[in-house]
Amino acid sequence: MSEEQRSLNEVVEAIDSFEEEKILSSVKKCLELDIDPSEIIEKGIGKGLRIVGERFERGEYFLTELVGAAEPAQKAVKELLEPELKKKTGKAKGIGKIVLGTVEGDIHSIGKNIVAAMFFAAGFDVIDLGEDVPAEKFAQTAKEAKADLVGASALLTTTLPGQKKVVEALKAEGIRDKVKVIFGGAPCTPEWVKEIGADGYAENAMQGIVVAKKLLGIKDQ
Amino acid sequence: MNNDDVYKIHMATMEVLERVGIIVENDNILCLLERAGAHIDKKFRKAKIPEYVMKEGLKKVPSSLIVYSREGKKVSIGGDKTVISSGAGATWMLDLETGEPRPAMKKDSEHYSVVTDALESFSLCMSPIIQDVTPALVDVHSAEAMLCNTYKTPWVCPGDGEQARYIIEMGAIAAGGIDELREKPTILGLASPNSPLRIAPKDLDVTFQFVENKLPITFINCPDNGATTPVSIAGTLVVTAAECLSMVLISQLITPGTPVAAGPSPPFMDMRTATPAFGAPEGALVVAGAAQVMRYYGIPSYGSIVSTDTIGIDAQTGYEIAWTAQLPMMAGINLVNGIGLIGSCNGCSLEKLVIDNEVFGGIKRIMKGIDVSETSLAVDVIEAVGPGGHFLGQKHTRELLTKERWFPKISNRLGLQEWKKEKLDLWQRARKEAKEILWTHHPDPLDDKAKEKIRNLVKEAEIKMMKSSA
Repeated sequence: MSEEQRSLNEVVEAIDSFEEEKILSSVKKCLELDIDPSEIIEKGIGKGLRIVGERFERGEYFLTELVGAAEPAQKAVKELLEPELKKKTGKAKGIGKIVLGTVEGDIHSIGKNIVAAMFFAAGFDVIDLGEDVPAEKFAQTAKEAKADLVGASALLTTTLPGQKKVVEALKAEGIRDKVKVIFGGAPCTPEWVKEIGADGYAENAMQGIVVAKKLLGIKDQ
Repeated sequence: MNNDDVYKIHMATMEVLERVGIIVENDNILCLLERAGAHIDKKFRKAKIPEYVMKEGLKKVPSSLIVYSREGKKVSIGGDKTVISSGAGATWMLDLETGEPRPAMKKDSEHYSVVTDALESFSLCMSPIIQDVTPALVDVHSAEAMLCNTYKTPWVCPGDGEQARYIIEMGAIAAGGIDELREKPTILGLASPNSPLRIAPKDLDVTFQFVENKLPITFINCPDNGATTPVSIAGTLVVTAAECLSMVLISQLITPGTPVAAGPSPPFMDMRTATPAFGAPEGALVVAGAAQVMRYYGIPSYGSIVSTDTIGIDAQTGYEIAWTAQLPMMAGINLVNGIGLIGSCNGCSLEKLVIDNEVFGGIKRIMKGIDVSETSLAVDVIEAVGPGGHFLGQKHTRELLTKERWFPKISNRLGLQEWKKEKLDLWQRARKEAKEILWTHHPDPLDDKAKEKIRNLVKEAEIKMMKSSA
């Protein structure tokens, strides 16, 4: 096995150890060996997250392992690999790009954070706008980043109308036909999503990925 | 927990408040905290609260919170008693006819109030989150539904300060004036922090509306164990105490002596689905622990119990009720809700209200314990009956029967042949009872004039809302 291959395997192992320092240092080592950043993402981080994701699906891992792997992995991509990629070819390319956030007036973020971690682990590029996000910000970001998907959550009945505003803002930006829109959150229902003219409803993060892949025509490998 | 454990929770809570602090998203309230001696980080709107500041503030908290029913019956929350309320937060309801879940409507909130009114274990009433009204006024509409359909004290949870203002005005109309409402509060408020350690502007606005009017309010956190609080029960209790105490302190800084109660509505995030499990046995430990911790601070304690995770009503409903109900009550929790709720607090059912009423009847009997007195020891009666006789015809039996025994309403105690006639399970028997209540029980707590005034106020709120969103 080449040194490059060994180092990429170390990234995979580091991801499956959930230890941030280990993940960051293994990625750094790959960069020192001059491995292409997109290859580190594909054969190191991506592979590691796929393993963790499969174990989660088999019931061997809990959300704690999944999020525990995805969050530091995302940090490694953002802080170490994206700057390198910018210097070279361009951007990392995931299986799809999603803009995520909790709607305006709503500061509940835990559900959205889980969704963000799971989408990242599933191979998506994730732009997380955080909580209390105005509808226009979803639309502008989706336009600038050429996103494939916009996802917004709301926990309260009072903030649920914020999801409708997201759809309206996407129309106002003239990109409604270019992105798929999925919604979730405690008061959100499939009927509501249909009523406001969005594309998909997901009851939880796992469903969110299934729905997103279906909407974008992504087949599981 | 033993007393040492409670003390350790206290010490950890004080350390968290002093070293980590809490985000308080309201500049006026941050000023109040600063004046009281807290260290304020203006940029992050964070207050670090030294122990002496907290202790000073907690001195002003009344040891009990008193509200009244529409008929003037006093409900005292504190001491060693448990006051029970129907539960809030459900967006869907099991249809009484079909048994299927569907969105909760204003009519359901009215029915929920009527059934709560009829059931003897409950003193307070809450409402589902109704889906067929203007979303920004959902709490105003449910307050109307409760005020007009139950004598029991509506426990309201306004989503923002504006709705709180309207609801207080509605309460004042029902009570015959704001002074009358203050004198004998017939509504109870609610505001919540966001775990971990953050109090958002809307909840501070709601707090301010109630506390400024010296109206009683409850502070309830929703610590999603393992996600928004530590996965350890003790760690969840520390975050719960830090958040609840901070809100209590704020209330006492605004208006010293405002009656409050505080505690957790604790879900346990399912680590496979992220569903907030409210029927978990660990929840009973958090609520029982919170009862102990709040008692240590002299604050009437609150906790959510019996809100099960099943969608329909089945054996899981039963054992989750059993897990979460008895222990907190034995630990002396002062105020509970969650009653009537299913589907991890997202759903509710009139049948479940009836079943929970039955459960609490039994628990209350257990809590009464064994009466040991000359009469109950019954030596004279045992002698009178003698070996081989029976006690059924004895005066002692007749006289003590209703004292010693609790009488179930919907539990099956039929013999096999009698049961075979209809073969009703508990859910079906509860449905029969709920329907019976809706047919026969017609509480009318307000005169027509008050009802009209309240209706007009709701209209006014609607018009104002339409104008502001136009």
